[in-house]
Amino acid sequence: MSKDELLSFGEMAVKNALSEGVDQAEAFLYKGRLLSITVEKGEVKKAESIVEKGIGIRVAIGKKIGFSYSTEFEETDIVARRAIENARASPPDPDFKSFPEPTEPSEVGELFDKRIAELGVEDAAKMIKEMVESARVDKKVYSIGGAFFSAAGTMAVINSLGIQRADDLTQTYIYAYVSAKDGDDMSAGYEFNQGRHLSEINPSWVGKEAASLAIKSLGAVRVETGYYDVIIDPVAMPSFIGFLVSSAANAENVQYGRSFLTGKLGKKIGREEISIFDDGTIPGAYASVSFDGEGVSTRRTPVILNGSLMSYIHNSYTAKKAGVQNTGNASRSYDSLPSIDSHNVILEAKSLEAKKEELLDVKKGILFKETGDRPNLANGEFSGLMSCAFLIENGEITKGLKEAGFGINLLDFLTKIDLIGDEKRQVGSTISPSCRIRDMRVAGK
Amino acid sequence: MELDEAISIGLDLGADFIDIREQEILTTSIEIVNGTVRTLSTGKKRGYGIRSFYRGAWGFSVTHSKSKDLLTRAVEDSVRLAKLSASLKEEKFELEGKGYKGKASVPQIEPPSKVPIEEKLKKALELEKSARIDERVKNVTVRYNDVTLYEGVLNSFGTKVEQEISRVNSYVFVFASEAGITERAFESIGGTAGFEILRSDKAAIIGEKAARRAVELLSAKSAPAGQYKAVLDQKLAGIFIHEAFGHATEADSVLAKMSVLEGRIGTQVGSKLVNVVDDPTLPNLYGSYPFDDEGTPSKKKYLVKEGILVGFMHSLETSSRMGQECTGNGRSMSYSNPPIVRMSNTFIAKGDWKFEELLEEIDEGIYAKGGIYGYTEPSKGQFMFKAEEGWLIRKGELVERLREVAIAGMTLEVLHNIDAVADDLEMRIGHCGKGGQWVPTTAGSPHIRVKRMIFGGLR
Repeated sequence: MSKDELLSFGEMAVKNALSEGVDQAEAFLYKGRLLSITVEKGEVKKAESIVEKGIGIRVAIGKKIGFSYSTEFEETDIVARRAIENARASPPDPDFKSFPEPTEPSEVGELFDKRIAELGVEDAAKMIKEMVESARVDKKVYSIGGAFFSAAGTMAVINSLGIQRADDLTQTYIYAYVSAKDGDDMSAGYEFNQGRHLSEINPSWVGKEAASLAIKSLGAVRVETGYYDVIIDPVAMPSFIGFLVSSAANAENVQYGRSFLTGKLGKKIGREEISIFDDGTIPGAYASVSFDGEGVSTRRTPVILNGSLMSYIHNSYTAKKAGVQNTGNASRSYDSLPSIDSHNVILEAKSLEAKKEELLDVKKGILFKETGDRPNLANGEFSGLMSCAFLIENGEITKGLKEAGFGINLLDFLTKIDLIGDEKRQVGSTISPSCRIRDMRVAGK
Repeated sequence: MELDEAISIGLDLGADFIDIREQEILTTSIEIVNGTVRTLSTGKKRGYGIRSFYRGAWGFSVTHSKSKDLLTRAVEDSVRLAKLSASLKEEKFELEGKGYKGKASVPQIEPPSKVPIEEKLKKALELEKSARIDERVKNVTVRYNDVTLYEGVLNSFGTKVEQEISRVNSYVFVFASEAGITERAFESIGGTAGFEILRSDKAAIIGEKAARRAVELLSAKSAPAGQYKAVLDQKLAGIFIHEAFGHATEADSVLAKMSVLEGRIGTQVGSKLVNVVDDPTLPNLYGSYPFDDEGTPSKKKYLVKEGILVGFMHSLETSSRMGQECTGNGRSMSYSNPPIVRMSNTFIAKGDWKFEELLEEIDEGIYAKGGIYGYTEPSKGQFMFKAEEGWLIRKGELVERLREVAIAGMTLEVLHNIDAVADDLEMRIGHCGKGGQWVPTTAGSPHIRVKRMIFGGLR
């Protein structure tokens, strides 16, 4: 379905709603195809081809808001009617002002790759085979799992204030999860590639690296409880700076007092050398889009600038409520109302940059590669378990660690960074180098 | 086009097996923040998930229409993908199963689709009010959701099953602050039933309960780090048994060599006090269902009896590959996802200790309560959970309240180290994620005591 077709369904929905007497109306539409191949024990297990589509309609009657969605584009009149019924049933929201007005249209380039849109399942199968073969590097490799995903779709937003945007987007992702076994000892390694273009996927690197991580993690030990210099790998950074921007600096969480960054605007919260940006405008980047879930153009927002908290991230509701500039961070799917999420989150600290060897040059340290944990939004405390970590002794990575618990407050994290790596990697939305933290509490035995 | 006809087309194209799931999903969601209605949403999804099997591999496609043209194309896609997968696969196996016929609907006194939205809104607003216990409560969010699912499952074994399932849930999240400290707590209620769930006495108190805990946590201390004797409350022990153990008994993870329980059937995996059950037939619980999403009737099964591993949970695929009976645990999030092995209502059965007796014998330890989330490293049998709160135990007494504590350990070590199981089984609702699919479940346990456990705290 082309952009124009989606837009015309959307226009019809908005027109339908307005003719029933609502003050404002908005339609969000998506149609796309997802392709995936899954590997288990080194063999292809299943292949999927899924069409996803739907329309969500939001209406305002005065300050009363209603919403409804459906997978059927042909039923826009019914969906619009249900949204109106919901608006009528809802008490007014005193903080609601208006849906967003049109913004200067901007075009972030390279977000669509024709090769992904036209990808045959046979091509995807070749990549997954390459990934699996590259993971078989050692007799100790016990099992190889993983998957390849690609999605190509069109997103459109139309509202009665004149917003009318549509764009084609692609995304792809491949991962390997390799387990290794040596006698009774078992370990696992995980690695991945992601991007908006097929050229960003390197299946053999993913396979080889996941296997190598699994093998290096064999013979893992429990670390002595104490304070360590910890080097946080870019793979673990979404839990640190990703969370900081998407959740803690999320204006909705701030306005409702849920976030530990509430009331800290303009205050110094980190080292002077450190800046963190939310940026939806980087051509070709994984978390870039030309417009957000309400059709507002994206931008580059300094969230932390030279150590000071400069801005929260907003959608139209929170921006109008606070009387500030909308940062274009409305996040959306057809079956939900807009919430707030980050685009690309970028850590910059030029003067703290160092070579990898310098970063590792600690007497007693830990390389912290992964955690499934996330910080406590209310107070910024972040305690959890490193799911992949290595011991560093006198500048050398010596052994894998198991069950290493860590604890740090996110605000201390921002002041305790003493060096960062000179190579950045994008992981999910986060674009960051490795960061070294002095004296982090780690618990083992 | 009739779905029977689509099954025939799939078989004619050479599929060894094919199934079609037709679903219509109606939803209501309400979100109230600090008294303001932020979401009032209703919606409908309808679609068809078509799964084909060919010599040990699967193909899956999704369409939104029953028109001859689109449905035929989706069947062709599905079979083609299965054949492609099979061409890249050396391990072959046959799919075996029975055909089931039946119709079922979940008992409901007030079907959610018949309850006016104003009534739902009123209930949610009441919950919001009930959480306003004092001025330290700064933020209250209430969510209400209901789902009505009409599902038909047809397959080439002759299965033809129809069911109507409705589920209702509500959550209250409370943030309290005082003197620059903010704490949070949440409570939930839900079930596979109608709107009557929200009229129960148990539902009426969730707002106040969450608020009281958030306020009390304001005076809590950071948890210590290190190894301690531990008592886990029902909620946390339930999360443990679901996440750390339950997932390892899902036969697909065993077959994928991602389970520490591989090859351990009939062996001692925990102390003799431990019995673990998965039971989707329990009336009204959030993880209950009459038929699974492959059309197999649901049933109760023991996973662990007196510490001995007695069985795994199965879908059609895993039961065929392992030569065991299908347990009716093939579930999917919606028509957009193929069924995989999932839990239903999973719990540690009750023992005969009293909660106070668990504490009595502890000189120094931690009582960890509630759960914010948890995850596991399945092949290593390692887990980590974030408990909502805790207490320091000294000489059998709860002496100091702790905020958010992280616990970690090796699953089987912990199961062996359970040295007391109380008699106070409770179940909590949850949404379990696996392979990108979320399904409703409950997890439960009585209070349990563990000889030693790793705590990761800030001090």
